[in-house]
Amino acid sequence: MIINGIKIENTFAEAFPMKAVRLIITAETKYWVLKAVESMTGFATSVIACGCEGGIEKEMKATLTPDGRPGASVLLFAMDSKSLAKQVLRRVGQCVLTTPTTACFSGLESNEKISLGQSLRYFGDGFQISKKIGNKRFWRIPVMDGEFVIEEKTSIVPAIGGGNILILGSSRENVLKASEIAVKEMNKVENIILPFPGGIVRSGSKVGSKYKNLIASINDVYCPTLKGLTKTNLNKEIESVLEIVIDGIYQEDIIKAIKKGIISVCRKSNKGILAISAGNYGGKLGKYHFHLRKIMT
Amino acid sequence: MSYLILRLKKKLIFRLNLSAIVPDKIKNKQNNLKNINIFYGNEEKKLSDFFSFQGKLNKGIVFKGNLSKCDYIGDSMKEGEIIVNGNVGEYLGNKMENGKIIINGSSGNFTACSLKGGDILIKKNVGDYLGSPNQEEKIGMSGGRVFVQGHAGNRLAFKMRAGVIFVKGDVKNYIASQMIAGTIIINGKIGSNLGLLMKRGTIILKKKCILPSCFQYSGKNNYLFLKIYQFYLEKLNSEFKNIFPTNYVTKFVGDISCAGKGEVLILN
Repeated sequence: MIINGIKIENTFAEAFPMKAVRLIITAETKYWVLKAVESMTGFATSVIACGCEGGIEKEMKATLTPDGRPGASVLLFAMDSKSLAKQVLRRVGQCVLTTPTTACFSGLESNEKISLGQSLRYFGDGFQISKKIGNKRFWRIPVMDGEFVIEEKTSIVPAIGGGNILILGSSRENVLKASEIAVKEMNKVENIILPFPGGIVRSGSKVGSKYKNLIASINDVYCPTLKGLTKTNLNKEIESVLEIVIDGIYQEDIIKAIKKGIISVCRKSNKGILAISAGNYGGKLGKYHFHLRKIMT
Repeated sequence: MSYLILRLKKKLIFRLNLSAIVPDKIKNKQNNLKNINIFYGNEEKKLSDFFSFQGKLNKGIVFKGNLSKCDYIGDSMKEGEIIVNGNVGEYLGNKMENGKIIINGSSGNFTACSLKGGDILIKKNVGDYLGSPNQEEKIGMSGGRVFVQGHAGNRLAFKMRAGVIFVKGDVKNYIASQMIAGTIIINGKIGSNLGLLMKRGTIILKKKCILPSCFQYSGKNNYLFLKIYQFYLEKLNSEFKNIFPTNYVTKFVGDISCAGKGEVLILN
């Protein structure tokens, strides 16, 4: 399959079941919302060593948030509920609670609940106040700029992590430009995040390593400088590869994001781009397979 | 017809106990409504001695007539609706758990006594002890929502534990005595001795007033939860639109004589 001169490889992305949480963070101004959410999702690129994968799903207008102030929704992903619950508390406690004027709300409903304000309320040292509004309980924790309002619990939902596309091109400059355009389009899809910095990962990994203690190492078959040394997947012309990883709540939205990414590269930035591929483990590890050609037909 | 209509057909001299006439209690007795026993004073009588019947119980019950001597309407109600086109007596919504009661008139003392859930709307005034405990209970209202579009009497929210009470008009004395938790919103003027022995809970006053000395000034600040509360109330009833025009309010805490952490928020 070739779209605008770019080969769509006959392959698939292999993704895994994960757990996800959505939180809505609000603040007095958009500036402080972004400070809080960027801090919260800053060190959250991969579960390999960050504890979770996180990103800003979308910014929210004041009219759409629970308290009528500017906000943003954030998605956090982890391999299991226990790890996710721990990361949520740490990140909200250290990054959201600390940011001026913020408040924190649950952005999803499900039967699997985890503690949010229920744990963080103790920071109020006995001065915290509980308020039940409707069927939700909120905690008001006194802080130096007034009160920090946080919902008592949030919900965990099943999710998918590790959907991806690989953009292969003749120069680093072209591949980077194409990837940036792809990320911009993919970020418009709801229920997904692109957890790596700027949405792009330059150091895509494989499972395992020659070193016993390492669980992941460089995906050498896609490293252009190792063409002579490894069983490379790259032809002579390919000099750069970048990966875009997608975590999402629903398969359909990951598919939508992959499609948007590929279309945007093929139509808006195909200069020097030779192929679009995807990373997998032979289909034996991950439950979810996103076949590129099937998505594009 | 969605409602069972009960029309009071005689003038009452003694008080009539209607605790048995609640949608979830009579839904399986619709074929034998006339013979349901109710107490008139201290005598047991039949429902048909006092009411004529029309319609079928699907959504709820509509009472017509002057029910100001009818007590325990909506007692322990679990589902459905009760609408009263007139005044009602005492203990309206006593221990109610769910459902909705609308009174197109005034209600007597002990309204929403030990209320646990559901909604009560009173379009005129309400008597004393709104949201207070029943005689054998240790705590008062522990859930639900009560909206009074007129005035309220003394001892509103005595030992209140949870839920929300809104009064559009004025309230008399001894509001929120021994209040444990919950939220009270008062649009109008208040009487004396607010919040005596209040432990926790929130009283929101729209008008400036003088508080007892057991409440200490705690500054002015932005209270975001008021906005969240406003959005919630607006969804219930459009009358609450913009009920809190600002969340920058004055706070008092008390009752300090019992180390209480109750708060009084004054909007003006």
